[in-house]
Amino acid sequence: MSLPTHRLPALVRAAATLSIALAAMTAHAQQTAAAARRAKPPSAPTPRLADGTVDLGGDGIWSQPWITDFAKNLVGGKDAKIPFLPWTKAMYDYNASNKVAYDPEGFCLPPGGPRMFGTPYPAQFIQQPKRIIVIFEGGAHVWREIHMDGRKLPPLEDINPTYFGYSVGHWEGDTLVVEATGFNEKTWINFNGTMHTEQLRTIEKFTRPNRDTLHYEATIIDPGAYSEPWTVAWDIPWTAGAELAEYICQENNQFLLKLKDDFGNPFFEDVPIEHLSSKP
Amino acid sequence: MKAVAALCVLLAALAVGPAGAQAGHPVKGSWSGYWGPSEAQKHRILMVLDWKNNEIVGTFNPGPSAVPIEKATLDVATWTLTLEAHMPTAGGGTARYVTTGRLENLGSWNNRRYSGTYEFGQERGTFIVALN
Repeated sequence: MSLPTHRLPALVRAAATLSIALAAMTAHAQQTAAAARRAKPPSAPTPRLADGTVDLGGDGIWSQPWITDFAKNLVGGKDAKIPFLPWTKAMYDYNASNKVAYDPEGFCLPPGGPRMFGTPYPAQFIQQPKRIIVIFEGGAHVWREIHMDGRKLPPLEDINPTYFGYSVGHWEGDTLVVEATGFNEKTWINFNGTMHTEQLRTIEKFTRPNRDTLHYEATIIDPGAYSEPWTVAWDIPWTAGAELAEYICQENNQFLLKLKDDFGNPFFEDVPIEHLSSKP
Repeated sequence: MKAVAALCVLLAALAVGPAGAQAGHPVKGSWSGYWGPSEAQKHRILMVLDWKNNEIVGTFNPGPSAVPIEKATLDVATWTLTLEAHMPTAGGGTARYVTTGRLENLGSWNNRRYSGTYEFGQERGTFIVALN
């Protein structure tokens, strides 16, 4: 297609005007970016303990993001997918169909496992030589203990299953590596209704590349629910000087009072088996 | 003898404990209810089901009269569960016992249901159990 020659000057003028406008916008953007850099200085370096170990604590809190869909935080590129088994995919679809009404966290039960680091209430690390305690403001006001004394994970059958399982950790350079197992089945992997079994084992990696960032990565291994291990990751920002508040989920949980099951009955209304008809 | 059997069923039911969150495989847990050819002829039943090595396993009526489940299949597209075993008959032998039904109310911890029809030898009827 050719342009009419009589319109060229107008186009040239338009192009020139656009160039000037773009140049002005670029200059403005550069000034804005420079101002932003002045307003927010680069993060301080990674804090360390006296022995050189990375300090995951300090005067502040980790402001955890709300990760509702782990599928959006998969490690492995855009083709990565959660490797559901048929029953976990079917339950995921069922949970989506009822808008995740039966999410255990809605009942104020602890999120458990990696989901705890994607629950939008802050956390703090209390770092001791032989153990690390992570305390969470939300998720039922809970804490988690990570054994750092060199012990190994006990056999799964020797662990009483709990919401957070049994965790052992060690340092690989500046990365805290935590292996956990012994989870009960009272939690979902994430808000979107991704299930797991008691076979769940997680490998978590925590790095603090600078003062203001905690990089979190978790590999989920559960042959009873997934065909292969899968990994998620996200960053957790630091809020210097902030403190944990007291938050009690159980207080005045109106959601539960109104929750009904698929039959339309109040969720907590127990139907004695004597009232069941043998007619399906 | 009947009193002992009834006591065993009661103890087995009590051993299950109160309802709590169960968010793993939807068949896992203990289920109790009834089966029979009519409302007037219904029998108590307790099913203990588990998900092990990616298979559904379990027992009907745990205790001295326990019957192992020989085959279990679950179609997750329709949540249709089929359980097969050999149940004792009144005559002292056993007969093939098959329950086929749907899992419903999957999100519930205490009113999850499994109901449908059964075959017991030549007998046909319905059953319904709820997750304890």
